[in-house]
Amino acid sequence: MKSQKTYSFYQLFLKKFKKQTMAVIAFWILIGIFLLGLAGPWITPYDPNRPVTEQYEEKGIDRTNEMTGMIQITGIMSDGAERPVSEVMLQSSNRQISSVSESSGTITITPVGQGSTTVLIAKGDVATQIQLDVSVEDTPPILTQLLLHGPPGKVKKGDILQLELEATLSNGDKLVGLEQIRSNLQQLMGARKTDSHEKNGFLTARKKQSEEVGQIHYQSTDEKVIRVSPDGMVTALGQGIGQVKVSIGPVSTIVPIAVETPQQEPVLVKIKPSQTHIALMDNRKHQQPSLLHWFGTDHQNRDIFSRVLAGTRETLFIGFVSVGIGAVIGTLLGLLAGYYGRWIDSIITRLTDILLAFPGILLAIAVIAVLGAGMVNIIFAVAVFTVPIFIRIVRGSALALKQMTYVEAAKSIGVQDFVIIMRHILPGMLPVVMVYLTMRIGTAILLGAALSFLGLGGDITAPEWGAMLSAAKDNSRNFFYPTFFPGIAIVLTVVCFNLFGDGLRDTLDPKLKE
Amino acid sequence: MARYIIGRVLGMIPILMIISILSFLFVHLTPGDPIRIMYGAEMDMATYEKVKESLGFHDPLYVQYGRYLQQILTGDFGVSYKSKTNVSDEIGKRFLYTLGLTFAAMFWALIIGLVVGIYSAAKRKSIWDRLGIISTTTIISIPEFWFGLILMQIFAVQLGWFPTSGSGTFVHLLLPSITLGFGVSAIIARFTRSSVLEVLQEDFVRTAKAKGQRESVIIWTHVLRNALIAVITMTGLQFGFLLGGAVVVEQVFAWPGLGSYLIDSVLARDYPAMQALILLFSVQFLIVNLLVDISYSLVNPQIRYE
Repeated sequence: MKSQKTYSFYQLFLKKFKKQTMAVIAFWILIGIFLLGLAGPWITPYDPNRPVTEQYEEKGIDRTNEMTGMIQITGIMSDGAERPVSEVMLQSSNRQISSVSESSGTITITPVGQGSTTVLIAKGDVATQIQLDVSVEDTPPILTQLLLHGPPGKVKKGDILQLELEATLSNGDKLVGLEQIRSNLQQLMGARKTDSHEKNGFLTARKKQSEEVGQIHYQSTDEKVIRVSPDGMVTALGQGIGQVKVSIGPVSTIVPIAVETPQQEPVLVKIKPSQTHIALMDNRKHQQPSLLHWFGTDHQNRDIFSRVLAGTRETLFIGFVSVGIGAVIGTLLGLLAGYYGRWIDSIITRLTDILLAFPGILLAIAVIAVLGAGMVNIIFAVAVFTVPIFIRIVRGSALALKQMTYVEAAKSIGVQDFVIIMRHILPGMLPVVMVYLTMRIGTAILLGAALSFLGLGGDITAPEWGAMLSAAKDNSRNFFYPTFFPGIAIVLTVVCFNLFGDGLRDTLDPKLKE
Repeated sequence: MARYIIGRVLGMIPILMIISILSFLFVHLTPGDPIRIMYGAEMDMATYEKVKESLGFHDPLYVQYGRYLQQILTGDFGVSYKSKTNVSDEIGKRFLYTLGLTFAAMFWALIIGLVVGIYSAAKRKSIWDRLGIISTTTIISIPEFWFGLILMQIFAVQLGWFPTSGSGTFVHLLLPSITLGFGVSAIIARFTRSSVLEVLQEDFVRTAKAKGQRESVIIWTHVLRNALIAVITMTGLQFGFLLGGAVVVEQVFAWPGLGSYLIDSVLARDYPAMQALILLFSVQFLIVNLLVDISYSLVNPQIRYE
């Protein structure tokens, strides 16, 4: 005879559950999330509560290269030779974005804020501009250098000559000739004007300045030697050495012109920086996601990846504890109502009706309005929201189980009510309670996060997913990552709980399905 | 029928009473002295007593409750501690915003939910059906405030199609209402699917199939008509969900409705406003549930005689 294999309840359950692929996957992901939650505080790459900049030194990460910009400058003389320059005049047009300093031909730029600005390097009549972007991209190029080509041969008195002007833009483009420069400049200045207008509406003073900027100014240092017209025509008037200075806004250059005299010492005509456009990252807050900070950093420069990891525990804690409290109270009341019936039942059922008369989140908000904002109160609020649902389910289930023959039998032989409830009724409804427990944890996490997001959790500096979203929502228009990653963590966890709950339901009690 | 409706309305009265008592007790349940919150902590005892007297806090609780009941029945919800304006005026200003948002959200939820649900059921076990099930499970798990922030980031900030927040025109309504309706659309889709599948098992569907009727005709004439009764009820019940969700979504999009008023008043401990809003939200919820029950009993006569 073939021996029939018998399965225990748990083996049967496992056999059935394994067929629910999605639920099994969700279950394993949940195990992973639990482990992360348990290990959270120890495996975070950074301290979730402190700005990362404070931690770089401890971790031996050197980020000074990325944080400060170094620029070498060399001077180009009128005879084409390169010479080192020092003691230049430096000016950062927006000190809120960066500060600059110079030592022996090297300029150090340290960002202080975010935005786009220019640094002016000047020596005598020669001035060069560098474009500096801190944590911004796609800024239009600006004019950085000017160069006037001197006359090729000897200049005689009475000669009229046109000096060729060459302009270099921060993206490396060169514009040659007045016409080209003029037409391009107008376009460039226009773009910059609207740009600055958009970013800060109160910069009226600078707007005026930038209107003048578009003009090309010629100037002669010695009117007796040479005269220069506004469109750059140079007339030699007398013997000697004169200089023509040309400037567009802050950028300027000179060219020496010797009229009927031999050329003398070459003068500085151009300051050549090693870079005309420098892009820096502001490391003090809102760093973009990178290899160093997978999820970026938030408004206090705390590592979001570490915070999400550390927040796993707290978020799961809110979900479990609140649903746990709600389920225990709900199950007890439901058992009382279902088993004893009569006036106990009607009181408890009325209570449930009233609690269910409020839409879920409003009930929770009302509880917090009474208790005050705070994480613990969020747990209570979510528990209160969970209680009536469990009362309903358990009561219905108890009503059905009470009719069972074995319960009647137990009653008829005089078993105490407490024993009947604990031994015969509670185990019978355990599958249903378990299913709802799992499904409710997802909802509880969502509700807890929503309350926390609304600012009802009190402390929004805590690494909890809802609180992180709440803290990041004011900057959500400029930076997506501080809100994106905690949100994804919530979605993943809740999806897994829901899928796992669905799987449990289909396995334990197919009748429950819709 | 009339008897059923009257019965249901009368049945609401005790619940309304308890809700009004709870909202009345609100001020007394909460820690902190409402007078101190209203007028600041530094006030001498004499003025304190005077204010207490003028507000009637000396009277026994049942007298105060009677007065409160009288006030709310005449639509007077008191004066806000924070803005010192009439709470009912503020509610009147904001009520239509929340109502508009809720209805627009329900519109999206119904359109998306019904289309996805019916399609999933008609093409059951296909790849689209599976995709539908997976995406509805995911959508239900998405916090709506986060979804709103993402939509805002994509469509308002990156693409610039919609304003990020505020109110006034139809365009302002689009993002908040889609955000709010999205979660409910998943619930409606799931429910529609299972409801349609259930009706597909019925004998009359088999008969229709047996006589060679086309699948699309069966779905549109025989199945939907029967399946939609349950869907309509379920949809009505989702209004409560939407009212709650509106609280969060309004906060995300700075929508000047009742929800953002509620959160502001909770954070500012503005009790008269809180009291009024919690009362209003639960009464709204009760009325919607009542309307759903009545409309359900209109389409399904069995329920009336239970």
